[in-house]
Amino acid sequence: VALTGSERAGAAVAAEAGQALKKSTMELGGSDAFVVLDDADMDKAVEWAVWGRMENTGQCCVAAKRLILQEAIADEFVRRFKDALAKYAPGDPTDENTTLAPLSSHGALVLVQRQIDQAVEGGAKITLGGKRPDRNGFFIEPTILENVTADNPVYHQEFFAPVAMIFRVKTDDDVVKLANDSPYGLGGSIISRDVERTKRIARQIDTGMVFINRACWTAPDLPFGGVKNSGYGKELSELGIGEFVNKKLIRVA
Amino acid sequence: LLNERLVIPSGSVSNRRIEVSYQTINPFTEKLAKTFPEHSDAEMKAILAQADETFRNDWSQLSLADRKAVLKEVVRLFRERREEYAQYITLEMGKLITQARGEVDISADILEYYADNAEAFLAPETLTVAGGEVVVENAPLGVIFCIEPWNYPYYQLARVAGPNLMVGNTVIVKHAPQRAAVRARFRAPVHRRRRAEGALFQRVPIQRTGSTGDCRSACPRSGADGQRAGWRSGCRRGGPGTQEEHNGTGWQ
Repeated sequence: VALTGSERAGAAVAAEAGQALKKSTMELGGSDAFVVLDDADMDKAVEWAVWGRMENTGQCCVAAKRLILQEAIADEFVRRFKDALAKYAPGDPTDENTTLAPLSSHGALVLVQRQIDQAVEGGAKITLGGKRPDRNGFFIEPTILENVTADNPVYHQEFFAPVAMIFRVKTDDDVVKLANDSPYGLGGSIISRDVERTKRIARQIDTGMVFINRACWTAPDLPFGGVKNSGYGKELSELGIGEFVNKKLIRVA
Repeated sequence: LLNERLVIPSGSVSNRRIEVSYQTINPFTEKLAKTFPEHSDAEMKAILAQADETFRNDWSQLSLADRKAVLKEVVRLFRERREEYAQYITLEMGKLITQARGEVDISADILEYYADNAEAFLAPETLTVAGGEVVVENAPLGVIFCIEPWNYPYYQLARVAGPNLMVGNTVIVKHAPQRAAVRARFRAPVHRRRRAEGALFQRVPIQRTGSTGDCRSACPRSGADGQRAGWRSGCRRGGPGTQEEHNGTGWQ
């Protein structure tokens, strides 16, 4: 049994598969860190963060959902990130010039509106967007949430929509601590000019994939999969073809 | 395209528990694009049995070269029909058309990657051990049941179908509630030229309410895995035959 979907679906199906003694792979949600270190190339950081949050209208398990910024670059990054997101305009998704697509369903829209409301009730500040545009289609404006504290109900939630949570931290240890403060561990990013430093941080993050100096993404030859509530097992690459195979031992005396 | 034993007109199945249609709502226009009826328990059991039968007596018995030829044909069709397939994604889940085209491309790339590399990945491995001659071979397991979401409807499926079809497993897909047209398109080319059409790649329904019954009993000896309804995902029968009738694109 191979499932890609929500934690709820994954838990139900994995339980059923377990009852029948069937192996399963689970590719579930994610809310990974997109980390920008203090020495990052800002053009690169902003470009990939925007792409990582907006690709597929934010409806991606490895999207850049939690932006963890070191203080030295945080103000400049947020200003540029906000300017870039503000340019997205809703339109017909079949038109090649449209930049903002609708969410996939009315249910998805209602869910993210509820999450935004919860975030604000919990003390978060909307610094961009937050509303459904007054027009047809299940659109939500690209949204930035700041001041999301650990006691906010959305702090551990996944936003499956173009909603970015911004966090500011001081040290590399703070980066690791906050990145790991999540029920998920699927695929994240670290942007920095010091590649050795990013590798050190990458090794300390409990997640399935870390992309250095670009947004997390996928290719046929890259193993894809997570840990914690993001599931288990790998898809794609040589690892992916080994999941549902009988590794049969044949021994001749 | 579809094994005729499995084409059961909507409403004709006596043990259908509930008459439910699933609806595809275009997320941009907010208008109903299509409705699809559910499968019945009987249909699902027939699908499971056929997936198992095809696994045992056909697909797992083929050479890697034969499987590769089928996958290559699917890749060719994906690329040939790129625009048509991309439009289905945009219609059903609202993805920007440029990104939808990219998804069709990467899906074809994944299938091609496994078609081209499976032989090397699956080569028997000789182990150096304390005694005897030892080799570890990669044998197929059976029917793989996959449940896939709406966000990357072709890509998610390609990740499971590519490797598993090359291994020699057969695949049953339970698609997301509003994605039947996409699935129909994915499935159709896989069936092409197959003598056991219908079981290599099947979409499966899980009824949204009530129990589907214990589907494991449909093929107790196989690797197939049935399940009861118990999570929120609904499903529909997209009736690939029906799809063809509706839009006349015709896979034949």
